[in-house]
Amino acid sequence: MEGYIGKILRVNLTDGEFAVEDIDPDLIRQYVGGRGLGTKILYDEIDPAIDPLSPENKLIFLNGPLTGTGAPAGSRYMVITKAPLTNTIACSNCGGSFGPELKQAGYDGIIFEGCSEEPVSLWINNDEVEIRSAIDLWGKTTHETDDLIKAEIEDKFVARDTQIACIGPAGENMSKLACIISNKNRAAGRTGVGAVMGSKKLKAIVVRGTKGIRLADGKAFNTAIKSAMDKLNAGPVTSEALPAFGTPVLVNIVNECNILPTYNWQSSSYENAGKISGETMAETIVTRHKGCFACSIACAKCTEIEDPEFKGKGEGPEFENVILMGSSCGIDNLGAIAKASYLCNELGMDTISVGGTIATAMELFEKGYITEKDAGMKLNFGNAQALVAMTEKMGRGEGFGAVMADGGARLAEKFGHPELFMGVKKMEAPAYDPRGVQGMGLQYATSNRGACHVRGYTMANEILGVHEKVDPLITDGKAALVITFQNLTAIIDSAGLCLFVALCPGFLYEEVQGLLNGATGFNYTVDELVQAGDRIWNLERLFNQKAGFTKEDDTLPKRLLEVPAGPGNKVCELDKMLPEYYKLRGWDDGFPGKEKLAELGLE
Amino acid sequence: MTFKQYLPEGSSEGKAKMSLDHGATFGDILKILDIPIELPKIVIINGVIQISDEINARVLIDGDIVSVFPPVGGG
Amino acid sequence: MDKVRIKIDHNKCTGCRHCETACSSNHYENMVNPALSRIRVYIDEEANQFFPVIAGPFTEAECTCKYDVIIDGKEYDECSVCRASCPRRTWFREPGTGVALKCDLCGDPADPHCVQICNHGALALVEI
Repeated sequence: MEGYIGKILRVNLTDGEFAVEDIDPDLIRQYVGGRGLGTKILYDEIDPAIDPLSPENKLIFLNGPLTGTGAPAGSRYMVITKAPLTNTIACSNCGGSFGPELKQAGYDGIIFEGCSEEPVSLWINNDEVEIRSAIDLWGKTTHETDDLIKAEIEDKFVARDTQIACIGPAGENMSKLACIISNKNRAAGRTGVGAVMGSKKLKAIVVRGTKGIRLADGKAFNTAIKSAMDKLNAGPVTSEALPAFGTPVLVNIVNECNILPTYNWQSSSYENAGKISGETMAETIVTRHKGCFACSIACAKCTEIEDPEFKGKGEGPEFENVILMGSSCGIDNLGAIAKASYLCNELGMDTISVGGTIATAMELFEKGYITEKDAGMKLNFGNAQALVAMTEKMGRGEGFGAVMADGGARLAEKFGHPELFMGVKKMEAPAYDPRGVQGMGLQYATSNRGACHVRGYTMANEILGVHEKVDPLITDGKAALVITFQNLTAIIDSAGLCLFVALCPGFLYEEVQGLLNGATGFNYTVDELVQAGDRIWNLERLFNQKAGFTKEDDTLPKRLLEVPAGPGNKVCELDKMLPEYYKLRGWDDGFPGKEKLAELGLE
Repeated sequence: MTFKQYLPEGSSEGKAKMSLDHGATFGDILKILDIPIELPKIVIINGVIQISDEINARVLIDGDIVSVFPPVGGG
Repeated sequence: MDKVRIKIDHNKCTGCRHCETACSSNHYENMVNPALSRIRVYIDEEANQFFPVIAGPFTEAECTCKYDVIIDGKEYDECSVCRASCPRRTWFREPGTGVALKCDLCGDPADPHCVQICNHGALALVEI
């Protein structure tokens, strides 16, 4: 098999057994890889109604066919499991070098089952697989874990070639905001996948591989790489904006468009946005540009804060977390935002959800629903010290941090004001106010993992005009736009590419098809890929249906549906878009019916 | 890419006030600031993103807030 | 072939290792494997420094005399940025066989694929 390895490692953590299994090539073709294939495996192997933190849940790490092949931005591995934060299907996607190394070791992925009694780590060196005690690593931050594991490897040159994915204290404590970290600062961030790893007492996966990945047609693949890179280098976002400023380049424009969540979405523009913009970051704290494996974009920014109060260094913050921790908390101190982001990476938490949760807590505090006595500190908007202190407490599960560590939905519920949680399906929303960009509202409401921007980034057209300029304030045509982006994203993810390729004009199915066919020899047609994207989306929806979700869950926070704001002084008109969305999806009553399932081969 | 180099004198934090003749258009601003008309850009007027191809002919009125960005993206 | 050489600007490197995939897939048909690449990037995640290193001469034994180098204020042992195919280190030797790998500038005339793929200007082919 080419592009793929065709092998998956199955590890049972309850009894410490493992086996290498072949993957059915027909399944691979139908589900492409990564997100799609992982969802299929999970759907077939677990009951979607189980408790995500029970031993019955499985944790799947899976690469795409383009991961590690040299396809530009082809660095991604995906973590597929039932999500603790949302109780939906989870696929959380991560760059860096871990995925490529796992593939070099001879596996497309790993399926973890059961639950270990003691903390363990999994060590893989090509064919050698070993489960080791991780008692000494338990309690350590992700950075400490990375360093300690590398120090344990006798040959320091081998250690340098080794890649690690691990959880921090947040994952150990099963915080529903916990993520999985590799290369110290790259995260499979959203939906709480780190908590599943923690529930299984799996601290780290340590991989070294030297076996190589076979390509179906190296010449055709190189041609496709060249074509893809030419496109990326011609696209102004992928060749200039992201390399120079990283994702926070969006801060100013999102603010000018009046769709910037501020004070927990009570306002949609922030007077001090300039202080936390990508341009300011580049001038003040960025020390180096960094790229994930084989990435021609290199959007990662190494940063350093000199302010003694928030001193530290690391990577980021990224756009979403600048906003959720910044304007949404009324905080314009870039040092504090960066420090809180570093802490999230070290303690292993999703920066977006942490920011969203703290913003919710701040509104609860301002309105008197949470007191200083409850929180152990003043949680007023604008309190930069509280942002940093609370992030640390959440990561370590200390004091009120333990209450907040399960996210804003549960927090707002506990204090009697669920309407102050700004998210969908219990996941905190990212940083675009859908009252001024209607398609994103439909996307948040229908996304298979709760409020999420990277399941269908209609911003690309509605604000940024990447492929086509579309009016963000109207609802007409948004259902179709959302579906197009959702299906395309399912393919980009499943292939192992970074979604940022789709910020390049014209980087659509044809480019992915060229790369996929060169690597795999599958001779995919575009139609087949479009249908595969649809199939993956529908299977995820089926999973959620069996997990107990109904179409009533496809909604938005009251504030976005009832309180007008933004450039058009409108609410998000979800009711105008949702019925059309279901209809265009071919769903009866919000879910795929017999006919649709037959069309996709999902009966 | 950044449009910083095109900012007029006396601007701060990327913002400047401009006095224009009555009937001046968005295209006139580009001319005044020497921004090449063909450069790809995102235009926002009073917080509303402009999607029209005819944006250069848009007549501005007193008090309009105009933002121009090079293509950006991320998230 | 002696008219050109590769110039490395490590300050421009982003540590993406695209050069490693390009090198290996050019030297091995239908295969990508950084372990077979004649260019490797030493990534110092602590200091955020990235050093592309291109495979040079084969040595039968580890050096008996070594020195340390200071780069941007941080001390590195010489082996980290050394280009020899040497038994001390995994780089530039075929896994399993130990056969030495050496940069050949991708043939004559030189057409190094690492330089072609590098999108950040860290690698350049220059005339001497």
